Amino acid sequence: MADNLPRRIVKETQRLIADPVPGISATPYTDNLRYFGVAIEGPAETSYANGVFQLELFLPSEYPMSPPKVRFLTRIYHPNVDKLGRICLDILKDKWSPALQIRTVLLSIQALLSAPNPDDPLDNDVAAVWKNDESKALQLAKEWTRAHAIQGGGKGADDAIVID
Amino acid sequence: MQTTTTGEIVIVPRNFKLLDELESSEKASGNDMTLSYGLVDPEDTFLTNWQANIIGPQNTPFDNRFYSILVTCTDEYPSQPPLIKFVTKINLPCVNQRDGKIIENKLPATKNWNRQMGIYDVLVGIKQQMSMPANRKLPQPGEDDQFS
Repeated sequence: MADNLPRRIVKETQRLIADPVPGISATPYTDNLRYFGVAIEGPAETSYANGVFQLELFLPSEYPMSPPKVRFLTRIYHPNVDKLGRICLDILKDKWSPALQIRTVLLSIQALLSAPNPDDPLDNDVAAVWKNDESKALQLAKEWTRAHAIQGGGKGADDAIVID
Repeated sequence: MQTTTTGEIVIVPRNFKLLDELESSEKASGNDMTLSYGLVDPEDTFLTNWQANIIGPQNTPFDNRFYSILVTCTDEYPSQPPLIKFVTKINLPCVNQRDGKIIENKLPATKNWNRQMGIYDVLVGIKQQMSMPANRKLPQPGEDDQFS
């Protein structure tokens, strides 16, 4: 299987491991080299600070003509992430370009944690709180981070590989 | 499993396959409208427990009856088929009459399971059992009876 893995995926993977993005780790599962366990640290000075969020990422057979599939496994209170961890991000949908990479996708998700966008929500309940009472939303996001994303509190934490 | 032009075998991981299944159940496009399925808990990150319904096929003893079914996708899914349990009582050779569980080797869809198949295919397979001439003669329990 690994012999036939597209060169582009091999190269991207090598670079992700040799030269990781600060605050992000991405490691392929040994039995499926298109499937990655991802951990993203919550950016400092946000409600997600000190949290480590587990995600999973898969490169479908059409990749890079189609975007990677990626979602949160750790519960997160964020207007652009739904209850199953699916992410509303333009580059994962119509704004995808084959010039983008796994690295750019993960950076964009990290940036989304710094800049929630309640005007383009995936979870309407969360977005409504965000728009009507932002301080309450930020407080809830902080509480969820503490409950699910700190020191392996998230249910997904056991399943993904984390490299430090 | 898909094979690319380079001969690579691409395996869609369990969770992403189940997310696709959830999406197609929500769209229900091209699907048989007498079959439906969705997550028991819409916040179930690991998409394990599903609730399905089958409306019995016309001109059979199951005609217009509403069958409630529990579907469990274990960690081994889709290498292994989902576990299926009827809640509504039904008399079929592939259903254990004590607890309502599907007997895997008596239902072609689970017996001949492969990882390209999904929950929908198993429901279609069950509905086919309801239409089989041999099964039309089986006496059926009352409409509201449930397996315990």
